Amino acid sequence: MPQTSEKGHTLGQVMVFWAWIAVLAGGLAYMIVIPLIGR
Amino acid sequence: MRAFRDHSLSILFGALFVLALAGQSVAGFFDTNEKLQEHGQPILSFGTFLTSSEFVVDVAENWQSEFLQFFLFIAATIWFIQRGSPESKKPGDEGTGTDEEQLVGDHARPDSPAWARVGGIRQTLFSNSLLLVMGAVFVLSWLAQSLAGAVVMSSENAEHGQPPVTWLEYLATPDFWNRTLQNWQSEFLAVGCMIALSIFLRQRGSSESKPVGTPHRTSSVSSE
Repeated sequence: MPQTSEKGHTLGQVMVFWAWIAVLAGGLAYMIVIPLIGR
Repeated sequence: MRAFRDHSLSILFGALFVLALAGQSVAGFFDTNEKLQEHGQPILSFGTFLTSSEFVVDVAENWQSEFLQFFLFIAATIWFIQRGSPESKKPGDEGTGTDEEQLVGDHARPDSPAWARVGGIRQTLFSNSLLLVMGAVFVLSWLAQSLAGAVVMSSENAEHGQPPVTWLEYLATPDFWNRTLQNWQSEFLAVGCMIALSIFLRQRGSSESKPVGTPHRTSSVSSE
């Protein structure tokens, strides 16, 4: 069984969630900064 | 191995995203350099292309339309119904639901998320967090598309001896709206088809379909 915390989610679920948030945050920051610096 | 199986859907789409983005960057690189050569201009290195607004505008215009699609789908399914579609709640279930149905406040279970148990602004934020994040990504990626598009158009204008466009001027150009609406129309078509076709069509084993033997009149099985 996967390790489930008292909060009702697993470490794997947390890693999946934050990995996708990181992709979104990184991608958006990249796509906004590039035109702002005139590239 | 179990960890992989438990998260295989996310991992599959993460891998597909990386492969498709890599493919787009390579194809876009060759396409851009072909056009530069046709105009007798020096070609770009791959690194220069990856950090160019030409690459960004093509990525951002697709991001914004996908996140608009899900933003609207999540919002519309609160209030709008399609009888018989597994993508819809059943008729009569329109609205945001009672606290008892949503397991919030006094109706929260011991294992409910903390912000579902508390009241006030935290519960309101958590109750709408999926819509808020999808909407924020849509707005920011649309902003990125417009900023990058203005840089690309200004660069093309310079080649023809014309003045650059400001960001506000670019928002009123056919180029901006052509890039925007060509993506929106396909998203709306696909979502509409998914809602309508899943009334009478099935895919055995998919969470996006009703079970094969479910009557056509039945909407979301879980809400029945």
